[in-house]
Amino acid sequence: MATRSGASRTRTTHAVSLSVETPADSRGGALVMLVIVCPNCGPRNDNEFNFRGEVIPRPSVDVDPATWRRYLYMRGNTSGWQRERWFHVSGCRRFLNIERNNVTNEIRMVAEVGGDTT
Amino acid sequence: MTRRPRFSAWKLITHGLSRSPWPKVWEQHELASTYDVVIVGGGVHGLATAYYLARNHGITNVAVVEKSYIGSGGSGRNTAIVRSNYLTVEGSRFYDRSVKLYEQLASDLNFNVMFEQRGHMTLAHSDSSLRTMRWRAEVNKLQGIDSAVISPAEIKELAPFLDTSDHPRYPILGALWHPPGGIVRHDAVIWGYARAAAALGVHIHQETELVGIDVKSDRVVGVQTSRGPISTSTVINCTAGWSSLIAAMAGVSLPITTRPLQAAVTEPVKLFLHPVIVSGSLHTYVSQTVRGELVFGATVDPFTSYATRGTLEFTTDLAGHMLELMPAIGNMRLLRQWAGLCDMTPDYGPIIGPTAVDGFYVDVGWGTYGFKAGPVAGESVAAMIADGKPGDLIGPFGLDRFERGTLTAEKGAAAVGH
Repeated sequence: MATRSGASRTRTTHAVSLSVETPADSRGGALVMLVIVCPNCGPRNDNEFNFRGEVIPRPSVDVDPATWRRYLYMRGNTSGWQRERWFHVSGCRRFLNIERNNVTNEIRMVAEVGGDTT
Repeated sequence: MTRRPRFSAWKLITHGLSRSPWPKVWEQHELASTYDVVIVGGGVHGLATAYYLARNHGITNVAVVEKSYIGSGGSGRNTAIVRSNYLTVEGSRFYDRSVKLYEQLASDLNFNVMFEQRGHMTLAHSDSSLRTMRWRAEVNKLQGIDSAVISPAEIKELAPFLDTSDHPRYPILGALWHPPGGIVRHDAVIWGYARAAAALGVHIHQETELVGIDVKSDRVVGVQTSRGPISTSTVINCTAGWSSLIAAMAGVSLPITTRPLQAAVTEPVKLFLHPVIVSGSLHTYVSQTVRGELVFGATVDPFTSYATRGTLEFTTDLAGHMLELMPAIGNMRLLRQWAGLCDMTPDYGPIIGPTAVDGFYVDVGWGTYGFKAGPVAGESVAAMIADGKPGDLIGPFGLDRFERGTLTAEKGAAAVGH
């Protein structure tokens, strides 16, 4: 990007709202602005949200420490479609379950936690 | 095995005058059916491991498999900063060894890696970060590492273009000054290791993707690659970004999430910035290359991704923060922006050591600081393969620490706040 960065010292996001760039070549230099369609607030930029990681089933509290630590730390970290949890910190302040492709940043499902199966 | 032609000033002059072609730096080989050790990933960690296996331990029947070209991943995308002023005793000891290896690397590999120890300056913008820096400085000094807290006046002397006034939103209150830190040419480190390892008999297979790991009764027996199978008893996962996916091939799960980290470079200008400048509070770091370009780095993106693209708000934030530090660069133009994939671990420490699968080792989870650890990681992993157990330097970084609950605490000294 050939931008004259000195022109503005304030943060702006207006130029890109509502456009998700998903070029086929994932090595390309294009930038991403993720737009999440919140079921309560409508389409919002990703910086309104807090990413909380992939959804992992929580074991019961009486499991042995090793199992509990596996739940705390181990991650599938799959490449492709992933079910993850986000918090709409600057919006409705609700937890959301989102299905996102972490290679293309496509989103195919957004639902409030409790509103779908989990 | 081909004899490695030595590079020297004399060679440069004679080749320059005679215009005779330079010999090949290394040979391509056919994929053999058996190797003693298969290293996954042709970055600085994989190539350094191969080199030290061959040089220090005489294990030369080694293959490095790389799905693209060597240095195409994190090793070619980082901002090439080397330092050892970490917060924990384990961390600073480990990285100090790496700095020592980097200091000797050019003569060791007979390849100019352009390591310049210009000094590394971490700025403090708040009382709490100044306190952490004093803590870090004392931990470092006890390990014999040159590290001290300096005042804004001293900062101004070392880097006159920094705005040390009280005008910015986050004024500079002091800095952690680390003279042995500096920058290195990352491509040269890759090529140097590849050339030296190949001369000792290591096979480097580019465009060779690992597609499977064969495990029989919890033991590695071989690997499947895009160019055919290899039988081997030892596989070392030296990848970044894709390390969880490689480990999953052996049935091993890792506590890693993959996030892109962005960097950008400006047009070249006359040299004006000598030290490496880091600001944790502003999530940015900058150094000027010998070509004169300013290289900026940011922190990891706010969500996980395997796409080597960053988010727009991070680039705009990065530019804004740089202007806050150095208002004078306002008219410089950015040439390029890119992202590399970082393996983030829960405690910001790397994961090195054996796994539940016999013969499958990991050297992963290097977060945002894998490049500066390349030489010491390679040396330590090679020693671990030769001795059959991890040495003292890497002992605290085993995969089993997450099940035992003995995490390291290196977050405070990662280059930028996470």
